Amino acid sequence: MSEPILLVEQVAGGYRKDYDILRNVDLHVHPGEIVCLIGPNGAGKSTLLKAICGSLQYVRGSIQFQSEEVIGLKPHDTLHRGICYVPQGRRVFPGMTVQENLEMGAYIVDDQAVVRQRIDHTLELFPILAERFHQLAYKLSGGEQQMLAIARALMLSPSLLMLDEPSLGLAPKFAALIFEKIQELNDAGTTILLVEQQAKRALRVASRGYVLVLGETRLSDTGQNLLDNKEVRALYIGSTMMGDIMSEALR
Amino acid sequence: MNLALQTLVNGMVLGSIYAIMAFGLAIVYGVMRVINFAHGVLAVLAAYITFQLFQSLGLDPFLSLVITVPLFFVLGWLIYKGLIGRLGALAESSSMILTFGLGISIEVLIILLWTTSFKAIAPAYATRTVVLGVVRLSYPRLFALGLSAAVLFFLRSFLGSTKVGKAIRAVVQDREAATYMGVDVEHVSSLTFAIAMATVAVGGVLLGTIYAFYPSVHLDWIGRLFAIVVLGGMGSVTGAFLGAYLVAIAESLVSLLFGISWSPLVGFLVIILILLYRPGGLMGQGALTRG
Amino acid sequence: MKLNSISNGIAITCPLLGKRIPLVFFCLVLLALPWVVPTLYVQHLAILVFMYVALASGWNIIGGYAGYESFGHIVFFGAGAYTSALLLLQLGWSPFLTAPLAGLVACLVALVGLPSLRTRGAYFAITTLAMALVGQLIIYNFDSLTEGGRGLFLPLSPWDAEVAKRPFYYAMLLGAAGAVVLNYIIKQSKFGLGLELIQDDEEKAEAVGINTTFYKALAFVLSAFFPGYVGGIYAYYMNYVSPASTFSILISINILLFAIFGGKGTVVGPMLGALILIPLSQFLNIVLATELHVLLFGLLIIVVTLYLPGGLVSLSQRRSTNTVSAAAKVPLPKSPPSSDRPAANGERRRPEERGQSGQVMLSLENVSKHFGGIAALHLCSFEIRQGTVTGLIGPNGSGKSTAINVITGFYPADSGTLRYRGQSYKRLKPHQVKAMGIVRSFQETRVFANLTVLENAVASVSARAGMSLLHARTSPPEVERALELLEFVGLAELRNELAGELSYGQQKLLEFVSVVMGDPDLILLDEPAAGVNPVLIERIMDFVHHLNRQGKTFLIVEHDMGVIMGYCNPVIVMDAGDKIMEGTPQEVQEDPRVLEAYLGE
Repeated sequence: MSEPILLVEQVAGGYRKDYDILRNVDLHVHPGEIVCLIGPNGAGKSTLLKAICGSLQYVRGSIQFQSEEVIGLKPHDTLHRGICYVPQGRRVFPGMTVQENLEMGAYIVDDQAVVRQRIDHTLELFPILAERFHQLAYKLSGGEQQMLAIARALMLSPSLLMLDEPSLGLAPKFAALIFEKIQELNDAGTTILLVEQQAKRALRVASRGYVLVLGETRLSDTGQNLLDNKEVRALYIGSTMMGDIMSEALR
Repeated sequence: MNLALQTLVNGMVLGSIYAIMAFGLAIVYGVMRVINFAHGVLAVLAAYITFQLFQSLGLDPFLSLVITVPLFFVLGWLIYKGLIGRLGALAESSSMILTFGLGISIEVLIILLWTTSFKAIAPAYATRTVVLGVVRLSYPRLFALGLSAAVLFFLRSFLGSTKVGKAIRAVVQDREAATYMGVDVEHVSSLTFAIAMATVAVGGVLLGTIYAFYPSVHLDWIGRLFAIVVLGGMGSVTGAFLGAYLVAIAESLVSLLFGISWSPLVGFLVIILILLYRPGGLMGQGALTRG
Repeated sequence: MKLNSISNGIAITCPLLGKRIPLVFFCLVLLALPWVVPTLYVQHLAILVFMYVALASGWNIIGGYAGYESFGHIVFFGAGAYTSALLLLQLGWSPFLTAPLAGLVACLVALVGLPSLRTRGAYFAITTLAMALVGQLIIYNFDSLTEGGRGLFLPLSPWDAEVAKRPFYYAMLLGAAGAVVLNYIIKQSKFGLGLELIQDDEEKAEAVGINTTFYKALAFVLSAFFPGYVGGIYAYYMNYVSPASTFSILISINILLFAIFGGKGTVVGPMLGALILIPLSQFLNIVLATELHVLLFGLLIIVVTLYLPGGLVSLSQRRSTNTVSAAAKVPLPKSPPSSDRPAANGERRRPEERGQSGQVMLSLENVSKHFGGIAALHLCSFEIRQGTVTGLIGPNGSGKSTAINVITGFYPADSGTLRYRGQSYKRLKPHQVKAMGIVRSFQETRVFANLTVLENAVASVSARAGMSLLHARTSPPEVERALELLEFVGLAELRNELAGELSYGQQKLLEFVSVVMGDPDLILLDEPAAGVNPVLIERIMDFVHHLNRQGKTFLIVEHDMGVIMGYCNPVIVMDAGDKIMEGTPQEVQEDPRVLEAYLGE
C-alpha cells in the first residue's frame, strides 16, 4: 500500500477557543482514492475540511500532507502545496463570469499561458461551462454553479481535491450528474476527500469512508462495507447508544 | 431647450466628479465594510496641495496630478496600515467615527497651513470657454469631463481586466471564498484603500479647478457622496456611478428651477426616499455581490 | 425604584474615583454655584457643560441603549433653537417658558424622522446625517421666516450683565438634570432592558416578544426632547441663531464623541464625557490656537475608537472574572420547578385556556415559501396536537427551519394558511406570535451576549410595550422564577456572568430557560441537541418531558435520533418542503420512504 497523501492524527479544534467541534479525528487518504466523510449534522465534517486547508482558527494535532506537516498553515500556503477546497454552498463569485471565476481559481498562478491552458482543459471536462463561458455566475443554475465551483478548484491541478457537500440543495438529477463527474475526475487520477449528507451516493463512489460523530471518527471501512453496515444506518435513522439507554430507562 | 441642454451638460460634469469621488467610498465599503468619513476632507486636502503647487511652482493643476496621485496612494496605504487595518472586527461599527476623527484632524491641519479663506485654482485658461453646438463649457470643465471619463474608464478596466482588480471584486463578492483562492485579504484591503485615496486626489483636483473651496467644504460634499453610495447600494461600483450621474443631473435641474440653494437637498431627499422603499439601495441587496 | 428614595440620599457611584458622593451634596453644590462662584466665565463653562450633558444624554437613549448611533442628533437642537427664537420674535414669549415647547417640537421632528429607523448601522448614521443636513437646508431656504443664512438676532434678556447668566445656568441645569434622570429611569426599566436587547440582537429581541418598532420609535422620540429644550435655551443665551451654528455637523458628531468617550449606554458616561471634554477644549482654546482643540478631539476620537471602545466608564467596570470554562461541571438537577406558579408577568393561565389535550393546536395548510427560485416549503401541511412532544425530522434542506420561521413570523408565508387554536393568522410579527403563546429557540443558539445570564432569562417576560417604562427592569417574581429555572439547569451560580462568556453548552441551556420563562403554550425547539454532549441532552429532554406533563406542547426539530426516538411522539418527517410521513417513532424508523430521504438514492 502506497504512502498516504494525507494523514490526519488526533486533530481537535473549532471556531472558538473554548469550544472544540473536532475532538479526536484520525484519518488518512491514499493517492488516487475517493475517501468520503459522512455523519450526522453538526459532527464537524466541514470543520475538518477547513482545518486541513488552513482556514480553521483553533486547531491542534497533526495534519501531514505528502509527508509535510501542514497544520496551522494558511489557505494560501496549502493551495501552493496542492490542496484545493470547494466550500459548502458552491460560493462562486456571483458578479463574475464563468471565465473570471475560473481565472480566480488559478489566482496563485502567475503564468497566463498556463492559466489559459488549464481553462481549456477544464472546459473539456465540463462542456456545459464552455457554453456559459461569458455568463455571470449568478445566472447559472444550482447544478451549473456546483460544476463551476469544482472546475474552479481544478484549475490548480490539485493533488488533493476536497469537496464539501457537493450535492447540497441540488435536484436529484443534478446531484447524480455531479457524482458522475466526481467519479470521472477520480478515474483520471484526482485524489478526492468528499463530505456528504447523502451517504448512499457518496459511499457508492468512494473507495473508503469514515463516519464522523460529535467530532470523532467512529467507523472506518470500505465504501461498500459501510453501505451494508447496520450501525451506519442506525446513526442516521435509529438511535445512538445513549438514546438506547434512555429509551430503556423510560420504559 | 438650450438651457435644458446646458443644464444637462453641467450635470454631466458634476456627475463625473461625483462618480470619481463615490468610487472610492463604494469600493472601500465593499472590500472592508468601512465607511470612510474622511473621504471628503482628503479630497479637499488634495485641492489645497494642488493649489500650493500651482501657487508656488506655477504647476498646472492637471499636470500636478503626476505628483498628487502617487502621494495620495502612499498616504492611503499608510492610513490603512496605521488606523483602519487595526479595527479588525470592529470595522463596520467603529469606522465611521474613527474616520471622522481622522477627518477633522486633517481639516485642522489644512486650516493651520492655509487658513480658512476661500481658495480657487485659476490657471490662465480658467475663464476661456469652448462652444459645442448650443452648449458652452469652460476649459476647466471640459478638461474635467475628459479627465474623469478617462479615469472612470481606467478604473472600470482595472477592476475588470487586471488580476488585482479581479481579486478586489472577488473579495467584495465573497470574502471567504476569496481566501480559498489564495487571496490575501489584508493585502487587498491595503491596496484598495490606497487606490481609493489616489482617486480622491483626482477628485480633489477637479473640485479645485471648477469650484472655490475652503477647509470645511467637505461637510457639504460628504452628505452628497453618501447619498450617492447609499443610492447605488453600498459597495456597488456600478451603482455608485449611476447614482452619481442621477444625483448630479437632478441637482442641476433643481438648481435651474428652484435656485442653487435648494440643490443639495436633492441628494438627501433621494437617500431618504430610496431607503424608505428599498432599504438595500437602488441596486438592491444583491448589488454588493454582483459588483 | 422610587423617586423619593433618591431624594433620601441614595449615593451615586462616581466610577473613576471609586468613592461614593452623596447625591444630595452634589445637587447642593450645583445649585449654589452661581452665588458662590460669581466668575462669569465659570458660569459660562457650566452652562456649556450642562448643555452638552443634555445633548449627549439625549443621544444616549437612541445611540447608547438601542445602539442606533445617530449622526444627526443636532437636528433636534436646531429645531428647538429655532422654535424658541421664532416664538420670541413673533409672539414675544420668553424662551424660558417656551423651551419645553421647543423640546416637544424636537419630538415632532423625531416623529417625522421615524422611518429612518428602518435602516441600521451605517445606513442609519447616514440617514440621520441627511436629516440634519436637510433640516439645515430647510432653514436656509425658508428665509422669509428664518432670515436664511443671515440668522435671527434675538433681543437681550432683561437682566443686568452681572446676574444675567444665572437664569440660563439654572435653565440648562434643569435640562441636564432632566436628561440624566430620564436616562436613569429608562435604564432601570423594562423599556431600557428592551432597548439593550435590541442592540444586542434585534431579531432575537423580536423573538422574545419585544415590539422592536415601537421601542425604537419611543426611544428616538424621547432622545429628542432634551436636545430640543436646551436648543431653545441656547438660542436666547447667544441671542442669535443661524443654520450654521445650530445645525452644525461638527457639533452633531461631538455629541456622539462625548457620549462614547464617557461610555455609551450608561447613565454616567455621557455626563462624564461632557464634564471632561468641554473644560478641556475650552482650556486648549485658551492655551493653544483655536483650531488645535478640534485636532485634539480628532485624535481623541481615534484613540478611543481603537483602544477604548467602551469609553471611560469601562476602565472602572469590574471585569467579570472568567470563572466559566467549557469543562465546568454542571451540578445535578434539583427537583423540576413547578409550572403551576403564576407566570412571572402576573398572569395565570387557567387550565381551560390551555386547551384540551389531543386537539389540533397548530396547523399548516398548503403553506409555501420560496427563496429566489428555491421552494423551501412547498404546499406543506401538518398538524401539531395539544399536549404532545412532536418530533420534526428530515434531511438538510427539507424545510424544517423554514417551517419554524414561518410559524413564528420571521418569514411571511407566500401562500397557504397557518392556524393556531383554530384561528388563522397571517403576517404577524414575531413578538405578536409570541404574545399568542408560541415561542421558539434558535438553531445556532442565540443569547444576548452582553447581558447577564439572569437578564437573559428574564428578557422574555416583557410587559406590554406602553407600560414598560413604568416597570422595573427585573421584578422580584420574575427574578424568583428565573432563578428557579436557572437552578434547575445548573446555571444559577453564573447568574451575573455575561452570557457571551458562557460555553456553548451553557448558552444552550440558557436559551432554553429564556424560551420557557414566559409560560408559553407551544414551544418550538430548533435542534436543541446540536453539538451538545449526551448528559446535557438528557437534562434538557428531562425538562421538556416534565413541562409536557404539565400541559405544554412541544415541536422539536432534531437530527439526533436518540432524542427523537426517546421522547417524541408523533414524529413528522419532511422532505423537499413538505411532510412525507407521520407516525410513531417505531413506524418512522421502519418506513422505507424515510430511509430514502435521508440516505439518498
